[in-house]
This record gives sequence, C-alpha cells and structure tokens, in this order.
Amino acid sequence: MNPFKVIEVKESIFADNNADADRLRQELKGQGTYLLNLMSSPGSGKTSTLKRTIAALKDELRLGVMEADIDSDVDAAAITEAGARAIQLHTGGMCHLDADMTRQGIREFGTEDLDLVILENVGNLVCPAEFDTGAVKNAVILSVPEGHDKPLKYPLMFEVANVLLVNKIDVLPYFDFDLEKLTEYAHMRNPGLQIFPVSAKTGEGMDAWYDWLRREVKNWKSK
Amino acid sequence: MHEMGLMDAVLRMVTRVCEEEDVGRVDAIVLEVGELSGVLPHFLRECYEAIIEDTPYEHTRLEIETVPGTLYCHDCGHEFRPDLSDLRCPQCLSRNLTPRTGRDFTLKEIIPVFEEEDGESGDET
Repeated sequence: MNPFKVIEVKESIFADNNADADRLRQELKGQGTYLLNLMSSPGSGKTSTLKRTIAALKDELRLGVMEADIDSDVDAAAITEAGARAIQLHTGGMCHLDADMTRQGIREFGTEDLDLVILENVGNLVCPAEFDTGAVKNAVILSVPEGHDKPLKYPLMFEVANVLLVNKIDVLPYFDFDLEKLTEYAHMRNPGLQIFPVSAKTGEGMDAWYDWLRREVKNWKSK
Repeated sequence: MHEMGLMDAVLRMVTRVCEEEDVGRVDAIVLEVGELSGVLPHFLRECYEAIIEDTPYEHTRLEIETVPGTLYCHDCGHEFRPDLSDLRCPQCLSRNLTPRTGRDFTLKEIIPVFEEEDGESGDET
C-alpha cells in the first residue's frame, strides 16, 4: 500500500492503446492477414468504394470487411452480396474503434483464412485518427462535396493516413473543389501521403488504388 | 462524443496504474490538455461526471491543467500562439505550420486518498 505519495504518470493517454495496437499488428502478421483501417466522414462513399473494390479483387484475394460505422447495418448485407465476408461490430455508440475493440472483432470474425480485412471505422474525421486500431495502414476517403480544406480542419486525420482517396471526382465540375489545393494542404500535414483521385461510381482512377492494395498485401505476406 | 471515448481511455489507464502501484482509492486524477490537442476541457469534465457514476472513481476529482499551444511557421520561421479560428501565420499568412507545443493529452499524475486509519475520506463535496 502506498498511501502518501502522488503517483507521477506523465504518459500519453494513447500510450496503452498504441502498445496494444502494436501487439495486434504482430498477431496479424503471424497469421498473414493485412488489416486496413478505412476512415471518412459519413456520406463520403465508403460502402460504394468497398463494393467496387471487392468486385475487383475477390478472385485474387480472400476478403473480409468489419463494419463499425453506427449507421451501417444495412451496409453489411451489401458487402456480403458483393462477395466478401462481413461482420457488423457493435461499438456501443463509441465514436471510434481502439485496438482492443478491433481485436475482439477480429476474434469473433475469424480472420486466419483472410488475406485482406478492411475495417470500416466509425464515420468521423476526429476520434478515429487518435486511436491506433492495430491496422497495417490507414486509408481516408474524402469526397469532393466535403471541400478541399479538410486537411486544414482535421490535421491529425491527414497525418495518420497513408492513403487518401479523393472520391466522387465525377462531380468535380459542379463543386468549388480545388484538387491542387487539397494536395498542397494534405502534403503540408503529411508529405508521404499517397493521393488517389477516384470515382467509386464510375470506376475512374480505381485501378491505381487496387494496385496499391495488391502491393501492400503482397509485401505484408512476404516480409 | 469525442471526449467520452477519451475519458474511457483515461479511466482505463488510471485503473492500470493503480493496480501497478497498489493504490486503493483515488482522490484526484490530474490531466494535462494541450491547447492544440483537439480535446476540450469543458466537455472532458461533462463526460467525466457521466462516466464515473457507479464506478470506484465516483468521489475522485478531475483536475485539468492546460498546456499552451505554439505553432512554427516553415515559411518564415515565426513561432507563435495561434488564433484557433484562423490557423495562419500572423507574419506571412502561410498555412505551412507545425505544432511545437500543446499537442499532447497526458495523464500527469494520480493522487491517492490519504488513508490514515480506515477513515471514510474521499467523500468531499
């Protein structure tokens, strides 16, 4: 018993979760499963992007999708129809997933026989950026109607992202959206960020994204 | 709400440290909140009140110390405390800025209840 002294901790609130996320990454490495954390605002086109991605890759990769978005129990059916295994996670109204919740989802899902699992995080650009899920990489979808200034308003999201999908480029002519400015702002926050302008609706630009996923999964399994 | 998830992480970390340090009851949890961490002390307090209900922390106080935020401008080298509604360098208007301080959200310390005999302290109002 230690009744007198003040316990000096001086640790980041995120330190425990970060350590847990590292453990989860190692576990997934051991079983050869690549976990991608997909983040975005609600309505950015996550489900359409996933459906098209699954259709393109289902014959070469064994795919799974873990849905954590609060409004997405309808989406799980769409994912299964597109040809991937899907599970709906219950976050209890939480605004993000942490490594422990992700691990519970992975266990319930049973991912040993999957090459690529995409975690559809809760739809917002704040909290999911703060909590490492244990994924190998983070992808963010930003859609044209949301505006090109998002990297200035949500800097952390663009710092933790490895890939940015700029979705709905088919509607670019109708919006005051400057792709060059977006690229400039995003690279200010994160010079290494890969940016793929796409339309999940028409399929434009999606091939570069599929190739990125193929390379990532291959590297993860071989290293 | 953003701060609810954060408070949940705070309490989990406090519980972990208390187990390691063999702390019984906790008088106060002291957090350091950076001005640029995106964490709002007002909402932290509100979430804290809700999250401690029916837990061992029901009588534990929450203390929040704010750490000032400063930004560094990569274009002109100016270092300044930003106006959070207009994140541009006041000298050259550049947006190419990096936080120098005030980014972190930290559990600074835990103050255990002073247990002299087996007094019923910790019931402060």
